[in-house]
Amino acid sequence: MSRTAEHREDGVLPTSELKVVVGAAYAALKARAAKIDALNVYPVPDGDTGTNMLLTLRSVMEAVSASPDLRGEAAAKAVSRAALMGARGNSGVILSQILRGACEKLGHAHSLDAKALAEALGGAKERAYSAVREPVEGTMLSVVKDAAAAAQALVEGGKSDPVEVLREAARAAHESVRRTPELLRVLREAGVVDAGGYGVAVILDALRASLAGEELVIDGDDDEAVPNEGLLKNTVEHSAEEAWGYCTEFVVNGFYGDAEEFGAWIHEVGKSVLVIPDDDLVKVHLHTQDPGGAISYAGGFGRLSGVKVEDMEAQTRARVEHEAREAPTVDLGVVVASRGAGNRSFFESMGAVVVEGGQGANPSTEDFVRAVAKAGARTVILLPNNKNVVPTAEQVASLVEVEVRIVATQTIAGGLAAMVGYDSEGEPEEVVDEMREIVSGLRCGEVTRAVREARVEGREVPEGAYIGLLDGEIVAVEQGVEDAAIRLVEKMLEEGADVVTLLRGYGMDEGSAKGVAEKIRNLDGAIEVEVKDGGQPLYPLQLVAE
Amino acid sequence: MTMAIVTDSTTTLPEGVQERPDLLVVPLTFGFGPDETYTDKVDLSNAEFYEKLKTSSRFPTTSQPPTGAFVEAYESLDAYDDVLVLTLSSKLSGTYESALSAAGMVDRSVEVIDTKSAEMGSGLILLEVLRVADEGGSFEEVKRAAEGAVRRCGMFFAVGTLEYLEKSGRIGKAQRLLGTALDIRPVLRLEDGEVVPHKRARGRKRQMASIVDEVKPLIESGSQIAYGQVNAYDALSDLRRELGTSGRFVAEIGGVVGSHVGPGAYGVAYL
Repeated sequence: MSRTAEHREDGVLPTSELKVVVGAAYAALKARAAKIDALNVYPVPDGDTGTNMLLTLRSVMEAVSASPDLRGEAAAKAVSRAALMGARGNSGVILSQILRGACEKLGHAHSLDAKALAEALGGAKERAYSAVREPVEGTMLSVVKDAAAAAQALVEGGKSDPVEVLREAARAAHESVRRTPELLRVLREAGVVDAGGYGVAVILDALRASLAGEELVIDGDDDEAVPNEGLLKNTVEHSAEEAWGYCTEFVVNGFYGDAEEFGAWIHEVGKSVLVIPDDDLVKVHLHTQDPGGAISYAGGFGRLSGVKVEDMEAQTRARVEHEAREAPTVDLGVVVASRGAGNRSFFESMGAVVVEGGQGANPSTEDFVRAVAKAGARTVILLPNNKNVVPTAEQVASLVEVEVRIVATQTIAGGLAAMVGYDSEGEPEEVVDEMREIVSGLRCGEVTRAVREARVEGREVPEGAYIGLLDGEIVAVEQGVEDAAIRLVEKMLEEGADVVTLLRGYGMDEGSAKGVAEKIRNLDGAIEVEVKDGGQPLYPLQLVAE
Repeated sequence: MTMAIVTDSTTTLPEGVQERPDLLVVPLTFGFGPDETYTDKVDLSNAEFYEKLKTSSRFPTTSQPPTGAFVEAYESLDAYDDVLVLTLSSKLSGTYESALSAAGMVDRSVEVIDTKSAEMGSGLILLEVLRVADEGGSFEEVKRAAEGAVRRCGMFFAVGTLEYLEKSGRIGKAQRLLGTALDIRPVLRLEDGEVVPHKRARGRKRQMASIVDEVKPLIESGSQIAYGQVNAYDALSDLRRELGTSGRFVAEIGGVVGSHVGPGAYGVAYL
């Protein structure tokens, strides 16, 4: 079936068909997500571009499935909003703006012809560029720009076949992806192409195939994207940390087999796992993205009963809609993105609503919108606590009715320091100023681990090495976590400090953290040092000097 | 016409004031449990008090003077025509109530004023009252001077921990500073006699800097200041250096107020 230029007075983009088109794009991107995740510039474990783009499309897919009778402007609006609600991370937000820009044009079209598609790509480009304060070439922005220009040129050259327009756009996009390392030094140094740009090209391929009524062949070998295999392993691991999925429950009756192996497997594939043995029964509860896989695995250990699978995203959505109706009751609230049990309790004890997410598992715009509703305040301050979460947080203001102020914290430790300036009973603008002033005086350090060998800013980083980042720049590369921390601390304190806070995460034991604290005291006895057990993953240590 | 002043023991008595015959001090008490009570600024030296604070397993509690103590004080001053009473903030202690009900029990002219302050703050108010009295002011003028001084007087102070204010129930609106996950160095102030949060600072340096930021302009515009501390000699000498003045006096804060603010507290009052 071909979905080409039929004239419709009531608009194009019927959601019933969009479901198929977006589904195709989703499937194509999903097949490539791990690969895109792996196209990671910094050898730190934040390669989640593919996952983030996928989640944006997933949200769109669900929205069009939920409302199968829309078309024209209404359908365009539904898609734009769903994309934004699902947007996580920089790449997710830019993709949502690409979709929005395209939908704004297509929403007014009466036929899905060549000209309309070229205009849609033009709209996508415009929105993508305006979503970013300082557009950088060699990223998904360049790719969508080149695709739009190629489509436009084709239409101006008199071509009228819409499928051909998309084919040309996809071709130009792939070519543009290959050029990204020429445009961006960090890509060149890391020896990769831009991950988000590659994702855009993959989506265009899928749209072209879907419009032509073809089945898209997803082969394993792409010319332009050839990341290191070792990295793939790592990224699969952290995409499993995503919170969404299906709440799955069942009972295994007459359990036989290795209970320990069974438990370990369930823990491996799930989150919020409960495995409760009772006589020859085992009750199981887990959150997973693959309930079918878990159920069929468990079927090998006995007969199953009480199988229940619930889509937590649907539950969440219902709750959001309910919560959003509640009017704010207080003047000022604060919402933070954070990871780790310790960190959560610190923020909550200071009056914050915590959105779980950050490095490796970016929270979505929707997560923030929900948390803002929960804060129940007329003005809500957002602390992203991560560079990659800032763009998501920035979208929130347009989706909620209350005032939103962002204090652009870059690390969890920095966010905690900023919270010291938070006063729920203060004058909102004064509190925001106070918190921003604190942040401007912070130096933020992080110790993390290289997930692959790399060369960054002229420095060799072996796989598995501990990296010390100071305000985002690599200042230490060491084999041991404590060595990296100490080297980082020496750099951090070159300009002196009054107070240093250490936030211990996975991968650093208490003794090491205390050793680092002792080192700081030895460097300068007047410095007050505080060690907290944050429990964040991926960062054995975060530090903040004030 | 002659007048006498009665105050409670939480008012710092600057040098030269203590010996005045027209000034009487009614003591509060504090203690570590029912069997161990001390008279404020009498029974224990400050060093002994801080040592107890450190070693006692109990938090100190404080007691306002009994009404009878004020009755006795008023009656003992029968050589004077009028009595002006300056008490600790009524938001921090029942002393004011006690002094007021005692005034109703004696057949003489007694005026009770809530200083809405304590220690170096009420000390500055006392100095102002004595100045107007010594210059020959009438009782009415002295009373008005006291009321004016109460309105103008303020205090900023730093505490080492909020624990003592919390345990003693004197934390007031600074309640909301509790539960901060990171160690903070709070700066507090007295507002209408109540402890209110002024700023949460990280680190001792910034704690002091935020006091200096507030008080320096007051000094420049001619306010008098007085310092006070609870086992915080070093911090106080830093603060005096930063503010560039030794002030009218330095209060060795006694056991009662010390029980509320805890060791390591220091501050500055202005008038």
